[in-house]
Amino acid sequence: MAALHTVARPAQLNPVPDVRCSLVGVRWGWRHAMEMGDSPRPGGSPLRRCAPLSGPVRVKSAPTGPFHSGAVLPVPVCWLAAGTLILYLIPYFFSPVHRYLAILIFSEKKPPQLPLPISAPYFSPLAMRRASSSRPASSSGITQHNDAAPSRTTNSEDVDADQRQEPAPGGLTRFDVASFMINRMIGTGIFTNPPFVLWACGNQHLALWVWFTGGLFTLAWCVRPSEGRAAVSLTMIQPSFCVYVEYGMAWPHNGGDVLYVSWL
Amino acid sequence: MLTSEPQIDQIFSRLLPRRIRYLPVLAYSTFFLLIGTPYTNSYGFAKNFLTVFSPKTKDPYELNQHGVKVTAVIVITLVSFVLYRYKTLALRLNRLFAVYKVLLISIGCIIAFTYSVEGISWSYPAKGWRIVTGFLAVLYAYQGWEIPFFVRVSFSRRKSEDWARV
Repeated sequence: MAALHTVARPAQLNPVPDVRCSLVGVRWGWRHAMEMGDSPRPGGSPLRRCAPLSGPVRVKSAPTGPFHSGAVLPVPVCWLAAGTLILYLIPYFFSPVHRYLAILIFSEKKPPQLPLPISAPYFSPLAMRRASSSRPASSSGITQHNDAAPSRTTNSEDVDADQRQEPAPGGLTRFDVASFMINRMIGTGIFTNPPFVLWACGNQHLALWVWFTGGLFTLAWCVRPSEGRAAVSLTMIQPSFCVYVEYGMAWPHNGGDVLYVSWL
Repeated sequence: MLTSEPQIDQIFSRLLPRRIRYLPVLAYSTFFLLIGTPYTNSYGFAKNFLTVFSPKTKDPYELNQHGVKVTAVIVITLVSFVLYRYKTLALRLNRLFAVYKVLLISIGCIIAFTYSVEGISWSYPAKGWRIVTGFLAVLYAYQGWEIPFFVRVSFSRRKSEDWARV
């Protein structure tokens, strides 16, 4: 039988309701408030029970099991994190990509020539062997592949060779590309944020208006890049759709956000 | 073919040092790795996952926070490894989740409109900062909707110019 602990708290010491004000935890606080009996009803607040406390507070039963807050893990978290990081970095430091990227980022020298393009699977020896046998290394190195925009390319033969290269069999289909876009558009936000928005707004009407206004806000920032103000919107949380249309028309190349940020 | 006269963007790009040129890319990657939504989502998943295996724990804040972090890191690592190593499996998961999300939203909307109960209304006072926070959450939820815009424009520029202006 679960034992209930009773804790006496003065009203002044806990003015904050029991709902946690974080993007992840607020829905749990909301759900917890709902499970405790504070159902939404006319004239009532789901946070009323959790409003400034006065008098004894009933704390739930002490948690048990291997995952409760008092449990001690057999392996420290820092050891796991350090081991994971080292395991990831070991093949990286032994690959030619490491030297190439280090020189490319931290030095102004011309980086050394790699045996394969930067997109080759350097971390997988078997796949690298297949790639080297199927497609020999380019004569001009990988510098042409790494540049984001083809206008910077100085050797037109490589561009022609890339354009002549046929897509690999078994590549992305239209359904795959559509699935990528759907997965980016319908993320976790629409499933997780509505309870938080409802809690933040206070009533469902204002919450719906906030959703509608947020959509208009993301559509409304239509600034041409030539005016020099579009960079401000990229630094915001949610860039607008129209700015991306302008960027896509200005630089119709692969890369998306990284390309736009690099070329701004 | 390249023209003999350099373009305007090439002229300005030569004025920038090379190390600053790659700084936005690093800053962008760091932003998405450290304060992007994957970490919050992985934390939420870890809390759900651990709550399922500990039925007596109702409030996720009673969970071991180290256990939640370890589970989130393991999930992120496994997903990244699968996406990197097993391309075919990653594509199948991509298709599966796309169909699953569309079906989930469709079924949820149908159920909500079918079984909606009229006359239920409730409200409680909310301060200004709460509404602003909710607005930020809405903006986060709209993240990703810009992709079809620039993807469509990037695919065929001539055909989509009029569409983009609209």
